[in-house]
Amino acid sequence: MKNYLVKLILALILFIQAFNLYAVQRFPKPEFETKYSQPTMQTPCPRSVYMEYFDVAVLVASLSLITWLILKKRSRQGVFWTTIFSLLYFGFYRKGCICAVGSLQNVTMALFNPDYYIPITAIAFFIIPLVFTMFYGRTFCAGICPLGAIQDIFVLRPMPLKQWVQTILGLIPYIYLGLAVLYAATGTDFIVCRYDPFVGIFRHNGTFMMFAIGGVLLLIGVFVARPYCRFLCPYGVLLNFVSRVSKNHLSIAPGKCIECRLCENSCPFGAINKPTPTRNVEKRNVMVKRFAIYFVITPLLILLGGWTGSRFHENLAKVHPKVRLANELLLANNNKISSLSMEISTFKSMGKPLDKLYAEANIIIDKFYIGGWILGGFLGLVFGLTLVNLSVFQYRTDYTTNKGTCFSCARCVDFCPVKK
Amino acid sequence: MAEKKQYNRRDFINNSLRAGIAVSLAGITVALTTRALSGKSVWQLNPAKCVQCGRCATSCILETSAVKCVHVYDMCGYCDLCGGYLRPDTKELNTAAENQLCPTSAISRKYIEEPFFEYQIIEELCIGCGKCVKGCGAFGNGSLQLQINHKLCVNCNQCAIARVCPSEAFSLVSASDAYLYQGKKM
Amino acid sequence: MKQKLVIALSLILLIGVIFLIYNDLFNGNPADSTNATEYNLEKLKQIDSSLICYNEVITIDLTMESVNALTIDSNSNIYVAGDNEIQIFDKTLQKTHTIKLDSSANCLAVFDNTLYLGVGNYVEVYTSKGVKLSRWKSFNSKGYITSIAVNKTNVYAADAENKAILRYNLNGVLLNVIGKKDKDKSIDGFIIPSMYFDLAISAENELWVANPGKHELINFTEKGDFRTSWGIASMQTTGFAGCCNPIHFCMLSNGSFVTFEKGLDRIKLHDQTGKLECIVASFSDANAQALDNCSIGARVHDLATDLQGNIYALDAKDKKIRVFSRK
Repeated sequence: MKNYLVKLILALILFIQAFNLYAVQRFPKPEFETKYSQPTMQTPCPRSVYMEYFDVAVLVASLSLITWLILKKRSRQGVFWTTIFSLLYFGFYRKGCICAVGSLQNVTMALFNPDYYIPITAIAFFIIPLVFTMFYGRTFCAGICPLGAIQDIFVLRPMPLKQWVQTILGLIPYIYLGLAVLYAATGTDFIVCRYDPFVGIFRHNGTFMMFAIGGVLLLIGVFVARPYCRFLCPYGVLLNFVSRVSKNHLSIAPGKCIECRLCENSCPFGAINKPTPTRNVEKRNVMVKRFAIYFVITPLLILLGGWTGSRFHENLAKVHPKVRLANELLLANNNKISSLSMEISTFKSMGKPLDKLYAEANIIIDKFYIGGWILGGFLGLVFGLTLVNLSVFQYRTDYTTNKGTCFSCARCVDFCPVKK
Repeated sequence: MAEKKQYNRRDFINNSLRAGIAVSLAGITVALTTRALSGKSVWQLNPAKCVQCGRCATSCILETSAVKCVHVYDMCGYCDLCGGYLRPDTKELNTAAENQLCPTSAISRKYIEEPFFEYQIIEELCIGCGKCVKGCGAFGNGSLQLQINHKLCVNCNQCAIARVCPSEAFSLVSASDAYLYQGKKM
Repeated sequence: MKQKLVIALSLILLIGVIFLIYNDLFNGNPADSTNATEYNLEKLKQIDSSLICYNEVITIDLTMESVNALTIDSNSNIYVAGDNEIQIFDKTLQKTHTIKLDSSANCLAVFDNTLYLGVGNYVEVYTSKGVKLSRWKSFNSKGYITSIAVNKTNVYAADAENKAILRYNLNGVLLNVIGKKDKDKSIDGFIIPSMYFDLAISAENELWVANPGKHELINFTEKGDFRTSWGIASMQTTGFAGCCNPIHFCMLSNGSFVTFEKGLDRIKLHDQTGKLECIVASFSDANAQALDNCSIGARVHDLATDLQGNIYALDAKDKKIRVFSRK
């Protein structure tokens, strides 16, 4: 029996070797007479991971520092200098990579694609700011995030926005987040990185598109403070949610608010809740009724959103290169486009059957059908909850920070006359 | 009194939500960390699929591309009239500078013995355009191949070249398979 | 008022940015299709139509994954080697039968209803009906036979690894080794950068061998003495292109040569002295113009000719035999 096994293994080894012999292309070596030795091939190794661990250490240290500066020292100046440090380190030195905003895609991809080894730093950059936010509010946004930091410096002539404008524009990040998750989960692309507005500036190198978006956003940011953070950032959606239930949070007044209104216009981001004027209070039963109605229509909105999303699944799938190629080939075969792109001519030269590509594209499109439902449903939910939120009346007597949208930048602190 | 009661309820909701967030964050961390520690993903260029479209030279986010031409000496014929070194449409077959194929003169040629020459890629000059790769493939053995130099590559989440590669030659692989040569297994 | 205007403008710009991203994501072109550093052989592949003296008359589609070699016997039967088998077509181009082999043959020759196959480093002999007659002792372990030719007294096998021609008698006895590098006899040896090393026997039973690294064809005597050679390196049609060509050739009954060059993928006809007579075919169609990742390796894997002087090219890319006849 044992003998038999040994023979079997031997045969297997021989078989594999024979296979190798024919699988490898052969080349007759020149017969050198001089003592020529062939140079060895270089296969340079990737950069060591210790540098990345160092990044994580810097993140934890700077986050602790800024949190301490905000909550204990209540020092805007300290926050400002930390902002400068982060901008230099995470921005210009580390060239905007790795960043927490993009890491949500790594996490999504790792959750959906078992073959992907997520870098440990990406997990750290995703989790650590959320953990800090859970306890202390969005201190990460205050000055650690390089994207926030570069915009914060450009907050020169901030002008207040109407509440309804803020609310409407505030829905965009949810769409962005939904798309980012959808494309990361399907392994299509990392769109947050692709449209990172400031990475081109950090790298001193990038496409025209990158610089255009970055430059325009900085310009807007002079008047409408931190437009990316408020109206685009998908990671901000998560931070917003977590910050709402944070254990501690920056308060404008260190002690009791004296309602002096000095801080009223100090926030460039419109994140200060004013005391509620008593005269506008609606009757309680009217509010409850409206709340109930919105509560009931939210599931309907989810369904409606999901259905709408699924209608657009083919458009969503078009971002995937394979689907786009299949689409282009369909058009080319119907003679709807005249000039052949490099993609089409390459595909034709590769000799891969068209049906196979179409089949592969269809599998991807099917994934996007499910993804479209989920994305649409998510947006419906967000829309519904926004409505519900609008109808929830919160009685406030003091000037307080809006825990969700406040970046904990501590600008308002300097305006408060209360000193303990 | 009523106000205080409401306040407590809000506190309770916040605490529960926070606990929920903490649990899910911990769950994600645990689930992903084991995976993260078991390996590393890097981008790989498969020369067997490469069509030398020239986009490696222009699409990398680095100033000069992390994709470089690599010489697989095992496959080289050490020819005098190297298809990867000389322009195909030269008037005379000699090694004058204007006859060099490489747009950045990144290939150096060294005489070994009659009639053999060694060709080396000067990596600092190589822009990864793949022109020589195509020339070598057309006339020679295909010993010149494009590869990602992982010392230079910053390993973007989504490789900018992979996004525009017309032949799906790029893929995300385990770091142990970072390099892939055609012809001879390394 | 001014403030309102600034805010309105800012918000319009913001919407503009979002639209830009949206447009790039969903409607954007991935990259432009021009290649600033393109390597283009098209200009060289363009051939004046007055130089082309053959027409492609027939193509035979092959049902093989890989095709290696082709030969034609005196009865115009066509033998194609590839995929661990040999397929045989009669003169009406109908497949008559298939011979299964233990492993793939790199080259084959037929004489007097006997098939001589080069398989790895040894020669195998079959009847044309597929009965295995013998397997000859290999010259040495590293050898690799890329071409074989036979006449009524000799079997010549071109061994690319040993860079020499092995001359056997019809019973497989090694008679002598031709062309091996030998400083004492001032034989430079063959320069074979890749696994292309072809030979042929002329109608006058003369042995011709391609020396691709030197861009020449050499005529040897039976004993292995150098008799004559011809060929120059040139990208023009008059010479052989690239680093190492021609990689395949065959001889017509009048002693002229049909050569195939890789890289430019052209089949040419040279007269008995080596002077270019005309072009048989140049593979420069729209497909070749497209980016071609299969460019490593040659397009034509073997050439053969029949008694009527038609030229048969084994197209490895399209898996076809292309038959050309004189205009």
